[in-house]
Amino acid sequence: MRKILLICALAATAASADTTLVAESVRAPDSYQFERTSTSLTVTNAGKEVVSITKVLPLRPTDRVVAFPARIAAGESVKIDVEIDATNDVGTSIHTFHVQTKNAADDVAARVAIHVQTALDNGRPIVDFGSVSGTAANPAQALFELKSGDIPGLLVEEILETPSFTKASIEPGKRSVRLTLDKVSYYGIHRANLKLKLNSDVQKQAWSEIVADVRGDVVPAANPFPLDLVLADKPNEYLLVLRHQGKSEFVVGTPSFERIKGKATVEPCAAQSDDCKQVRFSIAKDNSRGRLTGAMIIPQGKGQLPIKVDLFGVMLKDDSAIIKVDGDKVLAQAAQTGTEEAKGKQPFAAQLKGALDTRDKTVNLPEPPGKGPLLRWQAEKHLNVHGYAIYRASSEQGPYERLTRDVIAQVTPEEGGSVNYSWRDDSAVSGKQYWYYIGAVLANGNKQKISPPMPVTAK
Amino acid sequence: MRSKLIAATLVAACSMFSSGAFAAACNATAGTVAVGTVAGDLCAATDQLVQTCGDTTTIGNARDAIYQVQLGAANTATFSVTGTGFTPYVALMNGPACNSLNSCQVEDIGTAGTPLVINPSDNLPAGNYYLFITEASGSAACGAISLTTTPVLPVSLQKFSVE
Repeated sequence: MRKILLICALAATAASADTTLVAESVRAPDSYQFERTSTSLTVTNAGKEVVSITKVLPLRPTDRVVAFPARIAAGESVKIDVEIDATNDVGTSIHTFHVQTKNAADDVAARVAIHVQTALDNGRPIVDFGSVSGTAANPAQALFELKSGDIPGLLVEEILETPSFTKASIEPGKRSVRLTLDKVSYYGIHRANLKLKLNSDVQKQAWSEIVADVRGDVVPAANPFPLDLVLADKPNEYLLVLRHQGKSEFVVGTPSFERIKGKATVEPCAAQSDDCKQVRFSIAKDNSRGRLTGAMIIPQGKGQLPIKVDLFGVMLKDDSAIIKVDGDKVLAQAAQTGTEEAKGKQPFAAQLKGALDTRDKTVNLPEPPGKGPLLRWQAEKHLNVHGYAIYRASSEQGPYERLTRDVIAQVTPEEGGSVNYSWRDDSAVSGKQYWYYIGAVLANGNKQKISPPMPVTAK
Repeated sequence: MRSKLIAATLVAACSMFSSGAFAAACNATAGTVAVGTVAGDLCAATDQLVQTCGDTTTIGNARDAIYQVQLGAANTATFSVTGTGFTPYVALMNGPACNSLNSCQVEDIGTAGTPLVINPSDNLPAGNYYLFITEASGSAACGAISLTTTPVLPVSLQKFSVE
C-alpha cells in the first residue's frame, strides 16, 4: 500500500512538474558532531527514456559521494550512496547533493536531513571578545569554558585548531581554554572556529566560534552592515558613516568588495565634521541571487590596516513573491491563543469539533521489561522538541550524567492528545539510591532540564 | 448561528475533499485559519534563488516563495510550514542571527501536506528574517503554503515518576 502511495505521489509530482528524475528526501539517523554518517539517496526516473547521470556533487565540500549508477532506466529507482560530515552541524540540518545528468533539464537536488547532537550544553558556543582595540598594549583575553551536563568528566585533551587572530592555551584543570588576541591583518569582525580534542568517546571533538570586533582609530557606524533586501532592479544604495577617534591621520581610500559585487566612493559627511567621512556604496545587480554575504574593504593611510565591513542580505530578482509578516503581531496573537479567553474566541467549528471529540487520545508506548528503576513521563507534543534524554546522579545535587546517548524520539499524538513514555535503567545497582531527571533535546540542538530530580532505590 | 453552522460544514467538507468542486468553498474559509497563520501559493512564485544555505549551484527551475518576517524585539519562535502538492524545503537564511560561521543554516525538508517545523536558535535578535520555501528536489512542483509563526513556550511534562 505504501509503495502504491509512493508511486502515486511520484507520478503526481512528475505529471504536475513535467520532471523526469524525482529525488526522495532522506532522513538519516541521528548523529553527534564530528561523526560521519553513511546513507543512500533514492532517485526515480519517472520519465519514458533512460537518463544518464554524469556526476553527483555534494554541495558541502566535506560530504562525499561513495557510488552512483551511470544510468537509470525508465520507471527505475536507484540508490546513490553518500557520506555526510556532521562536524559543524548542530540540531537539524540539510545536506544537499546535486544529481547532474546529460540533459541539464533533468538535474535534480537530493537532500538528506540529519539531527546532530552535541555533548556540550550549548549547541552553538560562541566566545565573543566584543569590541577591542587592535593597538592596545595589553592584548584582550577571553575564556572558552567546556560545559557539559551530559558528561561530567569531559575535558579538553588538545587544541586542534586555533583562530589565526588569537593564541590559545588550555587552562589548568583542562575545562577551559584561554584565548589572547594576536596580530590581525585588518580591522573589523574576525570569526573563526576553535577546535578541541575531547576525552570522550561520545563526542571526540568540539568547536566554539570565536568572534572579535578589532578596532583601530576609524570605526564604522555598523559592522556587520545589514543590506536587508537587495532587489536586482533597484539602485540599492547605502551610506556607511566612518568616525575617527584617534591621533592618526584620517585617510580613507576607495573601498573594494569581497564575495559581493559593488561600487563605493568616500565623501565628507553631511555635517562636514573633521572626524567624519561616509562611504556611499551600491550593490551590483549581477550578484548571485539568494543569500548574500561578503565584505567591503576600506583602505586607510600608509601604515594603517584596512577596515573590513561585513555585509549581509538577501538578493532577489524583484519583490513580487515576498510576503511580509509582522512577526511581533503574529507572535502576540499566537501567545494569546493559549489562554482560556482566547479559546472562547476560537472559530465556532473548532469549538464544536473540540466539544464533540471526547476520545482518549493518549498514546501509551510499551514499557521496557526488566528490574531496574522504571521512569515514566507524560508529555504533549512540543514543536521545538526533537526527543528526550535521561540523566542520573547518586545524590540530589549531582553531578548528573546522561545515560541515553541516543535521543528517545518524541512521538506525535493526535491533536490534543499526549504520550506516555517510559525508560528503564538496567545499569542501576540493586539497593543503591539514584536521582533521575528528564531532559529535552531541542530541534535546534540545545538541551533543557524539564523535570525536577526524583529519587529511587534500585530493587 | 446559521453562518456558523455553514462554516462548520465547510470545514468538515474541506477536511474530506482537498480539491475539485470544494476548492472555492475551502478558499472562502481562509479567514478562519489558525491565528498567526499566513497563507501563500508556491505556484504564484517564480524561480528567484541561486544560493541557499551554502549552496551555490542552480538546480532545476524550482519556484521560491519568500516570507520576510519582521521581528521588532528579540524573540524565540518556531516557523511551521505546510506545503500542499509539493515536498517543501524550508530555510531561514538571513537576518541578524544568521551572521555567524555555524548557526545560519536553519533548514529542513518535509512531506507534502504535513507541517514542517523550523526551529532557529533561541532569542533571535530584532530585525528582518527571510524564510525561503521551495520544492525539495528542485522541480517545478508547487501548491498552497501556510506559514505559522509560534512563540516557543517552555517545555514541560504532564507527569513524571520513578519506581
